[in-house]
Amino acid sequence: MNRADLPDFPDLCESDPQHKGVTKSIFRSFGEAACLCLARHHTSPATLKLMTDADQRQYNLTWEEVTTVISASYAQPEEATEKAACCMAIAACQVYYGYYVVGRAPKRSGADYYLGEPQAADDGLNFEESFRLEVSGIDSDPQGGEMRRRLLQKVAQLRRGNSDLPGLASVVVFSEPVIRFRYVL
Amino acid sequence: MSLELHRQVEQLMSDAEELERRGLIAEAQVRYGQAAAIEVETFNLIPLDRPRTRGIVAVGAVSLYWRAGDFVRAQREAHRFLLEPAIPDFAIDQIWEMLLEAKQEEKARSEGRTMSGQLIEVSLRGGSVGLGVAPFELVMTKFAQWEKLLERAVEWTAGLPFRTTGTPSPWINRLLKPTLSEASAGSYRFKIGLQTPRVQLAPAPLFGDVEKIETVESSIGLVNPRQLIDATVRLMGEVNKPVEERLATMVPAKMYRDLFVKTVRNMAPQGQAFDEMEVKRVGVDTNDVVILNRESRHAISEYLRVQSGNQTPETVRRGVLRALDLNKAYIVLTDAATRAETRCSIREGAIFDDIVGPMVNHSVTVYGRLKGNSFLVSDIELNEEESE
Repeated sequence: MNRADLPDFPDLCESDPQHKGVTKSIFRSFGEAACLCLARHHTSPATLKLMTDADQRQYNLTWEEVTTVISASYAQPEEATEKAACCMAIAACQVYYGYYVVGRAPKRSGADYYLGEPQAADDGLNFEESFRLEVSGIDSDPQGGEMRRRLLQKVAQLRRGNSDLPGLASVVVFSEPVIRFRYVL
Repeated sequence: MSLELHRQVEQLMSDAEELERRGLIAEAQVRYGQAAAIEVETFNLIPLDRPRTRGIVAVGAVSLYWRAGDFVRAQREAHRFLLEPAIPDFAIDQIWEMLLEAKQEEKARSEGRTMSGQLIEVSLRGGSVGLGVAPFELVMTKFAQWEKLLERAVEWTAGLPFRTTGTPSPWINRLLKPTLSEASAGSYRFKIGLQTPRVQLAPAPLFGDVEKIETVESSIGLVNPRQLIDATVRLMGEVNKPVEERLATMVPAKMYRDLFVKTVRNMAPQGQAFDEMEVKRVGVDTNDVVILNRESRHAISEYLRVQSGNQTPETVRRGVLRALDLNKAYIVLTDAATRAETRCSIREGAIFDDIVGPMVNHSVTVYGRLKGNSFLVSDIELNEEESE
């Protein structure tokens, strides 16, 4: 399939208003990190592969030009990779599962975010049907071994977390680029 | 309304984390405190038919007071949330955990110290270990092994030369004091933390050589607790599946490397006293979990055999370790049945106090070779099943 025929991946720097648990400015900073991490390996546009245990999809991925200010803002590559992975995973949950961020997860929960169905603003805060999202980012993994190892670690982390909510473990590899999800009950 | 308030909390948390990243800790704590107060307000607006939401927000509020450094308020709110209706079990567990940690922090602060927040949780399972109970001997041995491992890890991380004799510097306990938390049910678990001084201690002449004192003190004082705990758990993971190249990259100094390998080997189960020891970081987003089991012990022993260059099996002797003098390089074994004593020499660089100290008056196996009339020991292991 030509890239032009692929569905578009969400805008990396503009959060969907349905994400009630992450502010526009935070998402924007994650998105800028994602642009930086992707630009290390690719030129926009690129094909993004999304994989679950049962499915595989491809998306047309575009991103903004990386300015010198953005580059200078991330002196530590690990920090950029971590934030960039959050952006990619949140956007992937939105486009693939139709889930949105409803809140940040506290430490010990084993996760980074709570996801859920879109919430009406007047319905009040509601985590009842939410699940946990745990994100991990890898800059480069040509063999895929590190991605598999990291995914198993994230699954184990979600299982160990002090929470009864189901979880989604996700690993983003920027050199491919690919996102891998695994559901954890 | 509760959604809007929670979004304010998210924004304040984000601002606080950014301030922390820039090293502006006091300013960050103010933001965390503001976020905590709003999170409490949010909790009060959540109806009883949303227990998960109530639980998540309650945990968040206590956690935010913790991050604000307001341990008194963290405890007060924790107590209040524990009495609230419609709080799910997972949230109660987390609130209890934070409550206990807040008390420990408050106590440490009253002594001019602070819990570094860097914790390792150790779980013993199987064998004679039950839910929250374990044989006294086993627990004491494991505590002693952990104490020795951490002392050496501090020295290694501080870049100090390998200590072949004597006790660790008193600065270790002054600057990075290992502490033990309570055991909890679900196997036999304990937590190991590090207390650090809240303010830099003035160097005091504890040894004869003042220049050396300041070097040791400043080296230990520069050890970052998080890096230390990270390095210790990663090191255990590498030793658990030993590959010489990887170990040599991580611990280039051979004497440190050999000592760590033997220490971790001795922590792994051997007999029937327990089946596995799980080691993991607490409260941080890392996935390093190490499980030491009998296979680990076998793999590490095999690694040590290959490293020693011994093609033929060494001679084995068993007995109770009754005496040792590491300065004069000998140990004394007593035969459990006949009470006969055997004096064995120690091969240079083979055994250190860290390894052998916790084994005194316990049944051990020593490995070595006969050299003339003397038995030269190259390794020693605790016989757990006979010691329990």
